[in-house]
Amino acid sequence: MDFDAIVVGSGMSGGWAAKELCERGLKVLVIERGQHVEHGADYNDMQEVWEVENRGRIPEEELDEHYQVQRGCYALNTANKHLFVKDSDHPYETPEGKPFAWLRGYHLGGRSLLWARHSYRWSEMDFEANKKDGYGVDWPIRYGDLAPWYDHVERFAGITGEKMGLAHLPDGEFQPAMPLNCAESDFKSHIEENYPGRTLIMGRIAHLTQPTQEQQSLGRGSCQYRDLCYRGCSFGAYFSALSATLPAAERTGNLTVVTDAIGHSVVYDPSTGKASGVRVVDYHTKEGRTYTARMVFLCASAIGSALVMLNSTSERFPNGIANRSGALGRHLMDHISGIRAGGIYPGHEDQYYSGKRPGGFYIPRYRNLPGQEEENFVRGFGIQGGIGRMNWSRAGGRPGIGAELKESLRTPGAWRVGLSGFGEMLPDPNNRVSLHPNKVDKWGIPLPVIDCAYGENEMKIVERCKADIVAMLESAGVQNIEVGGDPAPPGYGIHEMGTARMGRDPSTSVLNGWNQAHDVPNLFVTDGACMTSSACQNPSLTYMAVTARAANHAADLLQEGVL
Amino acid sequence: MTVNRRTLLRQAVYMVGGAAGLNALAACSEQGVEEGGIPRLSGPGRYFTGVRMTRLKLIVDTIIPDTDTPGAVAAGVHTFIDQMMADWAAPDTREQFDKVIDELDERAVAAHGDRLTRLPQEQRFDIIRDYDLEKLGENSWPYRQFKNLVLVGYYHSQIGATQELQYELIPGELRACLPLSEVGRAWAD
Ligand SMILES: Cc1cc2nc3c(=O)[nH]c(=O)nc-3n(C[C@H](O)[C@H](O)[C@H](O)COP(=O)(O)OP(=O)(O)OC[C@H]3O[C@@H](n4cnc5c(N)ncnc54)[C@H](O)[C@@H]3O)c2cc1C
Ligand code: SF4
Repeated sequence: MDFDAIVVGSGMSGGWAAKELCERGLKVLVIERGQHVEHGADYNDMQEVWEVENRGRIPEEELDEHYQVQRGCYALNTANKHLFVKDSDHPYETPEGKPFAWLRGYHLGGRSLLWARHSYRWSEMDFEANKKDGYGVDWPIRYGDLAPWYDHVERFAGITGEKMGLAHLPDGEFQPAMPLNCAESDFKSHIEENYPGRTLIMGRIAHLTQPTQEQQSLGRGSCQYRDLCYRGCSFGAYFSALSATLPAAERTGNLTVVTDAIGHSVVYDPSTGKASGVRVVDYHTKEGRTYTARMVFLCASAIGSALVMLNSTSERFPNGIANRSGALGRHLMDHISGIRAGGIYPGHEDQYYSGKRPGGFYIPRYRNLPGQEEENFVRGFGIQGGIGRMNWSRAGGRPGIGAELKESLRTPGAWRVGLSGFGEMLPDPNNRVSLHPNKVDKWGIPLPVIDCAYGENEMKIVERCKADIVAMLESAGVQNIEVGGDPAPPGYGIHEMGTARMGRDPSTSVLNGWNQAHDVPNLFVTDGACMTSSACQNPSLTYMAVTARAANHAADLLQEGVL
Repeated sequence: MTVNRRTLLRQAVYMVGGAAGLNALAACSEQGVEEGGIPRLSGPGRYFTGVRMTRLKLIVDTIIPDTDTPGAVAAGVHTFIDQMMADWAAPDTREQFDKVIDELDERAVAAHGDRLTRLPQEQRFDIIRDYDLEKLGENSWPYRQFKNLVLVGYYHSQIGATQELQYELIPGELRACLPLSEVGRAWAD
């Protein structure tokens, strides 16, 4: 055996798997399909605003040619386009009329370099939901199984936040919260007065406001309030695989990383009934090679890991490794996104702020909570938002030129509020990823086909959420309210999950409660693929917690000689 | 996506303005004079012809003039827009920018019988002000793009960000709720 463990994917989940396994003394190989990215050196966060290439705008023809899908991501610009895939190199298909935006980056660190860092625990309600209302299969774990692992990952990653004592959005191990600004505090009191039971909190975001010794020892420092996080952060002030987990894995001396190595399939050994390694295709030479190990962790993102598994066929598993149930690739979920409204927040003309806070506020779910009257839909939604004073760009659409224009833009504009809902999507077997029967990519790997659409419950959530958002804005006296149209198609939530779900029953699920394939005991899948339901909170913190838990369990099994 | 569909899509997005042919009047009539410290003749840019560079320079100077702080020309906004045409804009966007510049000149000729670049400052101001009012009233996409680039070019230049407004690459601390008077001017970014 070349290694004790292979981890496929070096992003949010893969970084955690590598760190935990290395710290437990295992020799770990991380296989990353994308290029190497050097923490610090490959970020453009020290460029002044006037130094950024084309002031951030990617050439129009380049967008047309290479970023047909990725251009839909608000974060994409010239300073970070090396952190997004070129769609022209990594195509996938969707059925006519059913768009799915697969927004992603293939490089060391994955999307942990691009995320908006909102980090919320799930609660008992979320793990019980499937069982309670019958959509999807029951989660094999409950909040209590994950709580200590949430503690563990929060302590290491560094999450700023305020303890609120909400049962449905459990508190964590927080660093000091960032403050709301004047208008946001005012909005908060309006919401809480007008709508008992609702609350507005500062977003819990993965930034350091009081770095621990452990964080400092990894070279991480306090957030400098630049809001340049989408370029990467040389201060290591937000959590990413490059600022935190991979360096921690590296310093154990147990880590090996290969980049430009595309995970092709997991090798199944019929004589042992286990995975024996991973086949890769070299990004540059397109040649294949195989690495062997005592266990395999798939952390290639929900869709990525499902694809590797579907492509891992053998006599025992003709439809993809560990796919006895047929659930592999199915139950793809995202969060319903793009439910938006905003307007002018009145007053506070004589107030402002200094420093750029890298995140907004959050209105946690307040409908369909345990004990509440049931809505005409199941599950719920949360709302993210922010209020800030408009800057000079407000003049773009308004008449006015000359000295007067210049003078007026010296003063910040009115306060503008924006709210954006994130709704839970139900697991539906028809929402799925599969392999194209005959088309392949540049590396000879079958093209992904993504077939996913919102159902009736999702559309009811959209309606309710939108009406609530508008009502809350109106109740706070917001003026010139503009309401967004249809929700964004699935994918734009960038929270794909569910394609190799956990469950109690091997005939309806792929993984057990330890993220271990029911049928291949040394194969673990710990990214979003494992999720049995989607809740409405941003999911990455939960991927981190399940990954750390699974990795430590796997290390235990190895130690006990079970694996 | 096929080229044809791409072209169509692009047109669907951008072809909002009305048609206006290029003015056939000889460009040489605009050459070689100094006015208000701005040479009438700019050399050609990386994209724009010398004539259009000259017009563009006067247009951005009128939209964001020198006051107690340097304006758009000092901040190099015309050069910035030219560079964006060369490095960022697709051909149809470039044509739209040409057209905005030429239409302003045509308005000058129609109203005063002379080129935009030769009008006295006040007349030029009125032409651009009226055009701005009209085009934004119609929500003209090409003109919005144009005006946005003028604004980005200025407020995200070193002069615009640090002399006209305030800017810090590394604020270091967050003071979330302050009297405006303690901050002073608006933040550029
Ligand atoms: C703009 C943006 C904002 C976001 N905001 C938030 C937020 O606020 N909160 C939140 O919780 N989440 C957010 N997310 C989502 C978050 O980034 C993802 O949930 C998270 O990164 C998923 O972790 P992962 O490990 O599954 O995948 P990734 O982080 O994407 O990592 C997967 C890695 O696997 C590699 N890989 C893929 N296939 C293969 C293969 N076949 N072989 C080898 N390697 C492979 C990829 O190159 C990549 O490096 C956001 C995402 C984006 C893009
Ligand atoms: S805001 Fe904080 S985390 Fe984001 S780039 Fe700046 S210092 Fe880094």
